[in-house]
Amino acid sequence: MSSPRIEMLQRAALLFDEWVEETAQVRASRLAALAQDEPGLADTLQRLFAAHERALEQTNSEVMASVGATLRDFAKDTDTLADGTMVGPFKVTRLIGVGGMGQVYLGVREIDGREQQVAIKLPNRRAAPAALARFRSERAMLASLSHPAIARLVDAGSFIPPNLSASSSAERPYLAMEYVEGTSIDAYADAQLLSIDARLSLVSQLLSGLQYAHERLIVHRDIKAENVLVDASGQPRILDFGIGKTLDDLGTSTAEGQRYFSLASAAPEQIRGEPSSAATDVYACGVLLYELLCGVGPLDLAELSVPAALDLAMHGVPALASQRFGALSPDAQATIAQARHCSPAQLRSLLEGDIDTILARALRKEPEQRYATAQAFADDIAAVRESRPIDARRNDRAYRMRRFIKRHRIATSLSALTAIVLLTSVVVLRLQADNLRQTRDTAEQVADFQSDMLRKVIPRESGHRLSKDVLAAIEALPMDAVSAEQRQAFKQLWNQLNATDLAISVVDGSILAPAKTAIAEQFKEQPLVDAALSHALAGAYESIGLSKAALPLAQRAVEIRRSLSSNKDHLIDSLTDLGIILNSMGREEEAEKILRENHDVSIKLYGAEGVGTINSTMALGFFLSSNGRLDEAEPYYKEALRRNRLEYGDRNVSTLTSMNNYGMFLANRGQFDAAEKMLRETLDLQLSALGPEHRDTLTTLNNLGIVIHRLGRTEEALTFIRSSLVGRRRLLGSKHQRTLRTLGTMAMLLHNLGRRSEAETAAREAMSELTDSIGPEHPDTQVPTRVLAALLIDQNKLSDAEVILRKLTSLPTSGVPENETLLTKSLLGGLLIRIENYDEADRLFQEVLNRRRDLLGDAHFDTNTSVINLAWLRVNQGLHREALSLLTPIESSVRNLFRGSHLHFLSTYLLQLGIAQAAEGNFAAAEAALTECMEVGARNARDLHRDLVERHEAMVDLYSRWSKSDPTSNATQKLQEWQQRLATVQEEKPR
Amino acid sequence: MERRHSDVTQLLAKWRSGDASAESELMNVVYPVLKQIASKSMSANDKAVLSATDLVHASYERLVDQRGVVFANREHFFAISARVIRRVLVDHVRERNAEKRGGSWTRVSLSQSDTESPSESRDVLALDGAIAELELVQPRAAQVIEMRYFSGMTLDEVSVVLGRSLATIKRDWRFAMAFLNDHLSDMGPI
Repeated sequence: MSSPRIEMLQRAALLFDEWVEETAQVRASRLAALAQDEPGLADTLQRLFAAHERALEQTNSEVMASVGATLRDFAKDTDTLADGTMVGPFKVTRLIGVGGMGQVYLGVREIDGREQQVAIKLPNRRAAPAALARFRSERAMLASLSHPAIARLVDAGSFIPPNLSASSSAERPYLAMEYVEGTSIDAYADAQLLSIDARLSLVSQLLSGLQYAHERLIVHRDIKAENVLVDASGQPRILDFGIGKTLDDLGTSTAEGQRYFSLASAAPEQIRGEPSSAATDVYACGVLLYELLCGVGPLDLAELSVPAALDLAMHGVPALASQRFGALSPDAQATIAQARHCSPAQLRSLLEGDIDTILARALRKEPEQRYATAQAFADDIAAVRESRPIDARRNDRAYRMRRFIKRHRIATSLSALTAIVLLTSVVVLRLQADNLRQTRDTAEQVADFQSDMLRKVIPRESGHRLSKDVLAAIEALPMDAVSAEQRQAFKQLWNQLNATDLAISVVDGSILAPAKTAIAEQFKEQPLVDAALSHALAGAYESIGLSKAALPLAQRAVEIRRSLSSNKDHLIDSLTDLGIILNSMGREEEAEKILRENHDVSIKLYGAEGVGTINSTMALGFFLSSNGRLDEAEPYYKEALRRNRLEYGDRNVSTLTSMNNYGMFLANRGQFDAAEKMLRETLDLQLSALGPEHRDTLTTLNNLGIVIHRLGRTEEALTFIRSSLVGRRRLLGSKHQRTLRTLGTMAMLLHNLGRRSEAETAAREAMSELTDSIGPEHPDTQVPTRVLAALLIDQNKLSDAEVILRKLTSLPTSGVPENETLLTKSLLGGLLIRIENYDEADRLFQEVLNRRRDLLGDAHFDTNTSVINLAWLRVNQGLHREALSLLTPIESSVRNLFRGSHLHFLSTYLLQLGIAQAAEGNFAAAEAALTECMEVGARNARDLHRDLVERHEAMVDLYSRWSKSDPTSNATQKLQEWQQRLATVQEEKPR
Repeated sequence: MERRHSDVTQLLAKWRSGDASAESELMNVVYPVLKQIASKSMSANDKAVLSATDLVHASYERLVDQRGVVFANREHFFAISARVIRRVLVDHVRERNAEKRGGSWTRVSLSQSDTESPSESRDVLALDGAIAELELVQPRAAQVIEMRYFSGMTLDEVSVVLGRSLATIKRDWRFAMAFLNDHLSDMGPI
């Protein structure tokens, strides 16, 4: 995904090539011209040309020199052990290889009178002492793995290398694995011409080893053909079990962005960097089996660039094995089938059906949809070999029912376990905190620490981070707090849930509710901790959209903190939260009181120029603006931005939020150009300071899209909204409120562009999910609902649309920005005109227009649309003179505002103007308006067939009046022309 | 458990057609050889002049000579070596910086390394960062830089690898140098 900045640099590259051979003067003048429109681009180009002029030779030789020096340094760092070095009890024979994670040597020792060969793995980086200690305790677990399919960990420990280089820490850990002589499983199978059945048998043995290890909570994470060797007796042996995880613990995984995993067999969650589970190994096994059976891997990653390959691995659904095989060339098919001791036709029919299904299940993108255990996978393979029906194919309804029951079982057992997890983690922390107390003596810091932990377990963003943190919390528990069985059961259950799409009720029921009870009980006597935890919980509820549940907790936190004289910072935090919650519930007066109190407290505490007041200023500004009090809000926005910049500079998260908010504030006031500028600036900074997938960047992308849409460049806006949507889906999940809100916005834009079926899909999805989760009255739900209503109107399903719109207008308006209610009413008014309910339409339009005049002023986009709507009504009512008096004064505003993707409004304007002029006898003016209307209508993406018909009818009407009034003009001729055209158009099928 | 040598030629061919998984496998093959040759040449003579070109040449002999040289693949080997050397050096510098921090372990982020390392290694990190950014803007130009600096290829050889005319490669080089120069001078004194 390329950002606007990268795109700019690409353009700079093109221009650089074009201009570099021109003279300096030509370049200078071109740059000056460019600087008018695109100062950023001109600036970059200037720098590039300046760099070009500098002594390149010098740079060249400097760089060469530093590369050379580093190379020498690197070579001098003799890390490789000489043959004969002793590593623990083993003697190094030779260096076998070097992987991404470290070096591997062949080693040997005498034990029980015979020679034992091992593969000694030396991780690359220096390990920290604490990690080393942990590593020692883990090796007991790894060494205990004793299974025929697993290459044993023979020994692990640390040693001091003989040739000490410049490094400080001498001790280095090593792992000694059983050295297996054999061939990789794919080569073995081909060399032995193994049949499908024999191959299935091999993989079953492999899975049995995996199951054994999983039961001991060890996941392999890197199952692939190279890691499964088959020894002389035909037994498959899995190498490097537990290595991946252990090395991670030692902190030896390579630097960011350089993970050495095998793309072909990495499960989607691995690529995303999420924790692995049994299902991850199941996936990799699925890839292995797929290739063993049909000769090619499930995803065609050859010829792809790295980003494309990653994308395919994460999102691409593999074809069925039988189909993939069938798509190969006859030669390839023959070779592959031969190695499987059958004919291509036989192979294909063997693959079809059960084997296809088994593989497909193992390769699901979502871990919880795969086989939950290696054993389950092996069971289905056994069933195939014995020609029994397999589990994966039981009918859908039964499967769903089972899942439903499972989910509930999960929910109940989860809640018990989670409560335990939370309680024990709090207990553990208290013990740790007691140690802390010796150095830091305030009770508050203890409370801080504990509530931080809680915040980690219940983070503000739901989604995959929840999963990561909970699993980490479980790992961190000491052995005697939670039994190994409980731990394992919890992990298994947890891994079956898709944390991203968890239903809100499950989260609430299983995690937050027990935590609430736990807090109430545990911390009755500790108000500080109580307040901190209540505050954290309130935040958690709010972040998943349950404001009602958050409210009492937030109030509690404020109450307690108010009464405590210490740490006002916390009070300010809680007050801000409470204000936000009250506002989102529509209780504005209370919210305002709270936020002003908040502001006062922070001024008293920090002084008017203090850093601490920035947040409360921002909160007040936001509150006022969200309630339509734009003039009052402006000074707060400006102030917050000024101080943020002063205190933190431009690249700080707080400043960027402030900039974003200010940009949106400008948009609210209708100053779209200024808003665009501000938001673009913000986005640029966010991309470089926070990255493209940070939630704040995604918010700004969203906002920028909306603003650009308002400016009439909806196509361009769509790209921003899409980026925001994709990012939010990844970060927050497809069911998160913000994701759905973006989806709703996208629906609106698509509708504007006339892409109606796409708009409908998006709108329906957003509307139904949002209705379920936050209810129909929420403003976020109203947007897609309105889009749907508009689509229905376009399709002439007027009564359906009316039902929806009336329902919308009857909903309580508290908490809904007035902007939204007015839009709904406008739409309803338009519909009423079409069903000729003029009285009600009149009332509605007048109401909306007056409100908009008050709130937004006469020049605003929305106000002008209202005027046009009212004029449209007047024309329909036959009150042409009144219509003209409405339309004529706004002509220049209309032309200015309604361009690009808003031509729809201009078109309506011209049509009504033309009709009214014709009715009033101003034929020439009417002709001009209607002719232009024809042309504009043709350019309007949203144009409908009935609009086209309307325009033709208006033309006919005009010339008919004209010819009657002035038979000498050529109006009669034109009349005939247009009557013809009208007839043609009416016969055409609508688009 | 040893990698078969015949794989290397195949891997090179696969990598040339853009196969991403072949790249990581190649890395695993090439790295040990590079490392051994590098340490051998240094242990022989402490003041030895070690150039990337020599290193790559020697590794190529070692790896591919048994199978007989396929001419077109030779340049590609250089290209992949460039990538390996780049990664290897960057990793090495970061490791060094981590050590210099003393006994306690802290995860070193790129920006931290940039401000605290000695100037030579700093330049390698800066170079790496600049190339990474250039990859997003003009991927081919980034490849040219990588191959020139990390395996000492001439522009001619680069043009063979990338399958473009020498004139095109020269243009890429020109832009890349300007970009690099601009980027590196941005960093300023420590």
